[in-house]
Amino acid sequence: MKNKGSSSTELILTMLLLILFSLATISLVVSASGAYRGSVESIEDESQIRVAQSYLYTKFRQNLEPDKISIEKLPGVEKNGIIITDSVLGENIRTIIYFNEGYIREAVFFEDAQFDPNANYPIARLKDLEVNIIKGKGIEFETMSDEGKSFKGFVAFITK
Amino acid sequence: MGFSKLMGIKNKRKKGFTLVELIISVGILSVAGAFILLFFAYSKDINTRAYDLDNSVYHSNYIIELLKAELWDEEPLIDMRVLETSKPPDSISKEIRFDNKWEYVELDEGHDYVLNLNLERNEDGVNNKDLYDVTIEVIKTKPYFRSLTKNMTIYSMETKVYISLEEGDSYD
Repeated sequence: MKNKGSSSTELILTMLLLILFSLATISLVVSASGAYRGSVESIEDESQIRVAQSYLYTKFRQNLEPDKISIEKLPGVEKNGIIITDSVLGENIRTIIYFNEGYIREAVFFEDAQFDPNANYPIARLKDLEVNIIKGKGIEFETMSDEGKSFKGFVAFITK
Repeated sequence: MGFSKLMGIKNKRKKGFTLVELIISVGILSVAGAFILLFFAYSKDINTRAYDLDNSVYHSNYIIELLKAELWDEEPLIDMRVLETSKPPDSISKEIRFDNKWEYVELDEGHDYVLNLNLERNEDGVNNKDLYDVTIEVIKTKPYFRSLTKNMTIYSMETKVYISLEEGDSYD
């Protein structure tokens, strides 16, 4: 028998396959973009933590004498700051490392200059930073990323 | 009279896609989708390996610094105080275990990572301090994605650390 046209069953099957095809394409695009976004955010998050940890380790290891590092409450800043006192070309300077408005920030002032929270440059974006000095032993710190990943660090002071 | 008819061109009846054509297209899409998903799985695996390496380095650094500060009451160093007693051992090893979120777990609990810490007493101690050769090796006990290697070493390091003896003792 000669086929004169599509039967309704063929039409329905074709339509169903077309719908399946469209749904598969849409879900593939949506899941791929979601996975890509998640992956990029995670990489960025880990990168910020890596920068923060390296920065803190480097700064503390350059100043390992117990009396060079202190923790103080800073005006206009939500958390306590780390003060590193050093001498450069005969001038005493204070390097202030603190966490404010989602960033680890660094500010450098002469010893007698007033701390200004606006004069800083951001180092890395974080959710939180906790710093604690264990007297005579070292300085411990914990960095938490925006995604909630938390890393502990510790640097021992050089003592006799 | 239509243009095509005027030109002598026969109009072919449009039939649309056949069932076979559609099945082939869905098949091709599935294969492409599988490759894309595999690509993301590999990408996630690389990210996981980088995260594990970060954690291995952070934990190793943390332990070395705790040893330098001789903080024997802090988590991974508990039960290693023996190093600063008058008769310190020539070598001491410790296995530190972590779960898949890099949290410390007890030795009898399920774990994904193991950090092997080994200290060997060196002959070059000074005054009231012993010098130890420290070796750290971090191992992932379960294989990574599409890898058959179990117990893969993620990170290893060697360093030296001075550890003070108890007051009044001196290095022989």
